[in-house]
Amino acid sequence: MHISDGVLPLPVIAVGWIITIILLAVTLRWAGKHGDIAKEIPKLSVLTSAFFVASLIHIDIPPSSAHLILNGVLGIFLGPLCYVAMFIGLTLQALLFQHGGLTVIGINTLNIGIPGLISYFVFIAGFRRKIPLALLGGICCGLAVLLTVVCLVSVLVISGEEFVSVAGVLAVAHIPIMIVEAFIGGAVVGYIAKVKPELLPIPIKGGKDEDQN
Amino acid sequence: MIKIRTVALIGLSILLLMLCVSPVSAHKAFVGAFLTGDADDEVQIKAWYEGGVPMANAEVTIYTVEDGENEVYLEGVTDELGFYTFEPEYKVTDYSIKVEQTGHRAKMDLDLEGGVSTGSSGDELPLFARIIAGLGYLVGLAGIAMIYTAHRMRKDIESK
Repeated sequence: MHISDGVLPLPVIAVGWIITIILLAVTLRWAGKHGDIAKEIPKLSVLTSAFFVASLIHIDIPPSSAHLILNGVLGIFLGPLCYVAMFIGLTLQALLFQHGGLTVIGINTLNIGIPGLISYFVFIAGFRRKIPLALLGGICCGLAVLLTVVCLVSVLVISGEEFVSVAGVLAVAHIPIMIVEAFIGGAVVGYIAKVKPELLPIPIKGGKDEDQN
Repeated sequence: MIKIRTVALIGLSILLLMLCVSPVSAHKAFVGAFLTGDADDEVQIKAWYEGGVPMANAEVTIYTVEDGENEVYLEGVTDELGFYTFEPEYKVTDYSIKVEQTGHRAKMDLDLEGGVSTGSSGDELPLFARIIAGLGYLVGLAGIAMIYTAHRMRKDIESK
């Protein structure tokens, strides 16, 4: 869910930018140290495109409407680079779709990016516990949306009393999104695990042989 | 146990269903105004999201604009269809209208004398063109990044 320009107070916007810039630097450095960013570029582009277009698919339940976020999927497949991907995606969405706003890209990236990063860690931890991949993908993606809602609600509540009721409506509107994204995440991860497991951030044991169910 | 393929098919069909069922649209909020008569009669505004969904029960704030200063004149809520009517203040012809809902905001300036309203208008590229534009930017960024890394790799090779 994207916050628009002019809704949030200046301190919140400023903090959003500061944290986003710091995290961009940190995740880029971290990604550089742990792998070759150059090789990730095609994957990054494809997933950023998916993220970019995902905000157009929405589930309307009056009075609010919510759209797909896909931050869980990006977190799992891109790891730390998901933060950069979402930042780019959000900027393009703000510029081309007027979705969200330019001043609030910092805080929006924060709300969507941090759950994406968390989803990545949960995925890796879950893999170590031998949770089946498709299920793990579903859990991570649902969790990512849940955390995004939590971040959004917190930001709105911090911003002022008048936002509390809006926050409640937003939270409820995202419940179907959580469920749908869990399914999508599970399906995508399960499929990729069978077809091209190298795309997942986990050490694969041989490719197509075992049924990870 | 449920097979991966079944889960994948369910996931994909949910995605496709949503694409068909909910009109794919970006989420800009718009507001427009209609004069029911002349500059003394009621003004009706309508607020909607791109794609036609009305901004129902959204917060409306109407400002009078005098000498460049905005002053809150009216506050209200749009109805189920996104409409809101108000009576203009006596002898005031310039207004600024703002409609907000769940983080979306639409604004417009209304000049009762002109009879035409300016606002967050929809004269921009159609949606699919903007999608292609966004994808184009992404391809461009990827291309630049790849040129840069190729250049770096060549320098590494040359310096060895």
